[in-house]
Amino acid sequence: MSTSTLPLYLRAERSPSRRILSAVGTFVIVLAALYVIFPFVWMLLTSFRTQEEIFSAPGNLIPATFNVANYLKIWTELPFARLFLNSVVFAGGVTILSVFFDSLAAYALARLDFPGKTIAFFIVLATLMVPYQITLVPLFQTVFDLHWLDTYQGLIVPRATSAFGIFLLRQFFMSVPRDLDAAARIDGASEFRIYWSVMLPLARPALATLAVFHFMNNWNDFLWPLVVTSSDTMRTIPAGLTLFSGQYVIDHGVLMAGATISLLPLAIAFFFAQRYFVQGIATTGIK
Amino acid sequence: MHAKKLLAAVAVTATVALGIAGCAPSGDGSDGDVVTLTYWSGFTGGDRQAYEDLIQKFNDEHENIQIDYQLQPWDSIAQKLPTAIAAGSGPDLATPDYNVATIQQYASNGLALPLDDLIGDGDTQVGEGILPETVTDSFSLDGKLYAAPANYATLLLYYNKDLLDAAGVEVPTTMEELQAAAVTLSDGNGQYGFAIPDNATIPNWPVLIWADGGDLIQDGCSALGSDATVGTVETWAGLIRDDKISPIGATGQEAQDLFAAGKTAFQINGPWAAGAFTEAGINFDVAPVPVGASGSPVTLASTVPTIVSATTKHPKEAQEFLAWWLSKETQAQLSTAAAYAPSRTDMADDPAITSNPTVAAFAAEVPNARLYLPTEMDFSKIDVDIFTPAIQSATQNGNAAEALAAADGQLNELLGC
Amino acid sequence: MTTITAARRARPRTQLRAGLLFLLPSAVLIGVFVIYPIANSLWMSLHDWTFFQTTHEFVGPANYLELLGDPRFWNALGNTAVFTLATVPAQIILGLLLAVRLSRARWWTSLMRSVFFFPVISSFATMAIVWKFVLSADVGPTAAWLRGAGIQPIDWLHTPNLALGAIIMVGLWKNIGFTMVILIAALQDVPESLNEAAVLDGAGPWGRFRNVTLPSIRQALLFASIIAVIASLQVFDQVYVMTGGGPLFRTETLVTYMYEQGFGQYRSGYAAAIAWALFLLIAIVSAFQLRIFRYRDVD
Repeated sequence: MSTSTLPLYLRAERSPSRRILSAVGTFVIVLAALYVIFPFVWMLLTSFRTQEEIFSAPGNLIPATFNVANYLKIWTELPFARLFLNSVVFAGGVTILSVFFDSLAAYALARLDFPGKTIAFFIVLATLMVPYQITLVPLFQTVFDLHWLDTYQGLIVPRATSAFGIFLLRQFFMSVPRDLDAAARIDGASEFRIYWSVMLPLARPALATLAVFHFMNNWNDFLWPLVVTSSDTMRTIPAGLTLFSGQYVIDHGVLMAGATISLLPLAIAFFFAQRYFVQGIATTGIK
Repeated sequence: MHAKKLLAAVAVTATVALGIAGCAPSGDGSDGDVVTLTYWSGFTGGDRQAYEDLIQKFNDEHENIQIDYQLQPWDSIAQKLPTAIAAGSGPDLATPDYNVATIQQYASNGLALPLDDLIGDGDTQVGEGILPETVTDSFSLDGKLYAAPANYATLLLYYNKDLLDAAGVEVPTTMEELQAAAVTLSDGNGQYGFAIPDNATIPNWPVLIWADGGDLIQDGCSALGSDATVGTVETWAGLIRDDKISPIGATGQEAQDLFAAGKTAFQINGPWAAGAFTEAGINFDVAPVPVGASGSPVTLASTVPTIVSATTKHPKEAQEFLAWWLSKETQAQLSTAAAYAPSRTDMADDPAITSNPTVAAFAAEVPNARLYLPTEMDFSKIDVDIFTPAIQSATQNGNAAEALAAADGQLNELLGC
Repeated sequence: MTTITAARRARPRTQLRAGLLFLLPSAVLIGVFVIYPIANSLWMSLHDWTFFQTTHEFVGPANYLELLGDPRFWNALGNTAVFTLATVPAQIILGLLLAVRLSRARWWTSLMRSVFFFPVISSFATMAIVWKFVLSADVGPTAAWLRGAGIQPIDWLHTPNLALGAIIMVGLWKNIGFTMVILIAALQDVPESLNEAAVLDGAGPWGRFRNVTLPSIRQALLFASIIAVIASLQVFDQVYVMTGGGPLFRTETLVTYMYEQGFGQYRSGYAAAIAWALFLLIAIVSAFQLRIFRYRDVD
């Protein structure tokens, strides 16, 4: 946190009034952070409480006793290991395939020059504008026609590319200065080589961002797996957790425990993936 | 080199996209002599265990028929079932919706199998007249039965014994008594006397209206504008607004949570809530819904239909399962485990029912129980666009007479009166 | 500059072939699994299509005409517009402020970034249930505290004039972290040399922000705002869970209305028409945004 790591021009600007402004800003951010984190704190603490406690003493955040009954219930009533595996295969599979296909398409749309490129981009963008709920039933029909219901490929392949990812990466690729890949092109490198060896490394923050988005979106998605799978063996964690909520009865404690279990892998993964987002001032710039 | 890499990528895509790596599609469910029936059920949540235990029992007792019980949320079933049945790939058995009127849609579009083999005198059949008339009426189209009840629930008045005792209030037997008690037990600041939900709930307001002799539809036309209906809604809306006996706009879940939190003294609810309230540590009991101006006891019946897919390859076995489900032994176990009344009219004296006071209480109301809009194809539209908004307006804005008059007009237009 | 143009001119066919090949996997997948179902829904919207029926009558624009006269549609459109106007600018501005503040590597910024991003990685279906409980004026923790202090808690979700506010707040809670992360990744790529050059020219922090930072992250800002608008116009999850569109339809949005018509009342054709009306709205707004940001790379 010492100021000696900042570049000279920034150090010079840390006058007293700026420091106060900065401190106020930090204070506001911390307050906002507390507000943002509050539901998660409530969720975690409630996962250790019984229904009785939740309803009789709503104002007490700290549970009277740290009761793990809710977690045990999930563990014993769901084939948890299998659900976890399915979630990993589904989210992981989609992420890997999608980052690859999305970046290929994005590179083409951002850097290559060919007829139909603009139309292709607009079509990609347009598909984002139709709400997914309206495609659920036709999609179910399509997956059924391919005999892919209740299978991994049925879960993964329809998601193996995403308009969102193509759009995101296109924007990032477009903001990379053209000199590097133009130079490589003059040197005679193939487009794929430029894509693979020049563009991808430069776009690491964007790729990491996209990978995180894809992974977490698919990890959390309960609707799609419910459409594609009907059997226990193929379910993912969120889909499996829906079994604990009935039409009329929500067991809040169990639900919170399930949500915590589902959130943990993502939280851990994100915390480590963060290193790809922020490289610090010293390392950016044209190499 | 780049061409090879690219071709490899494309080949991988093509392979994957053409699905050559596919698992074999599920077979037709026969393996030698064992018939496997797929059953899509929506009974998630608290009742889950009771149903799963019974399915396990069936599988244990039947060597030649096995049920593959696949549990899914109601939304999910509703989205997939019609397409799946039409494509011939659906389950053999399913609970399509918890709304009874949906059966009319399935039946009239040829998606549900007529259960001709279900009713009869055989060993694997259910006798004539065993099923409640309300059920057979609402599950039938053109004289044919299209569904069997997966359960049969009635609503009772739950009351918090501690709250009543502390205020010296007796358990009400008439609607007037209930109204007075509710006012006494409300403090205007978050402690409610009688939480009445008006949306996303097992219907409560129709019960109040029926109790006073009103109705939504009478003789095929709207009764929303009738004096009885308007009077009832005005009375209750007044109590809600002025005496704060209930939160406004509560969902079924919210009203239930209030009772579980000890913040409402009364709540009308079904058997599924008993378990939740016990877990929440509430000292409660149940009583029949108080009698209103009509002079007769009345409450709501709720039943979830199970259909057999019209494209099933095992119609006989599927109906055999349904007959087993409706047998005395199975119904007794279901009642004991989940407090539902049995779906049979001939078990009133069955020891399994009479020995458990909660079950007996719910079962006793079966003769007085009515279904809510059971045969209206436009059930959803009536509930969502006409009835509920009128009730909500009455409680939010205090204009019961106006709101119901408008709803009356809309409903008549819909019904063609 | 001339060498680059020369290189470009020299390889048009390679670029065409490469371009098409690169697009191929995505094109196939999007074609089959996205465009085909979408086209299907457009087809549905031109029919009197009830979910259960096997035959459907072609009615052309009848569904769309019905939409025009449907008060519930206009109500949903109004609510959706209010939600979007309230959410998107706040999301972009606050997201940008956070990104700028938290993009340098300090010990505490890493933690803060995680905190603000947490709502994004959580399951909205569950967190909406959490928020519903937290905001409850009857059984929630905040209500208990307020009552304990003698204050009457506000029933956000059941008060017609306030419910949409709660929906907006939860929407911001969920999405600000998203904008923040996108912009942080973009800020990482702003070359330090540009900042140093600006300082040499005498620019202060605000000048640098306006002339160096903002232009450099333009593409990311465009992306973030288009996505924010599209997502806002399609708001569904928290409404479905927290208010169901009520009270008295005051929080009903286009997608919740579409969902209710399609799966609640089984009017698939009409629901599809709502979806396409929404699509039209989104397309118009997005075109407008693209124009403002001048989407073509103008290097």
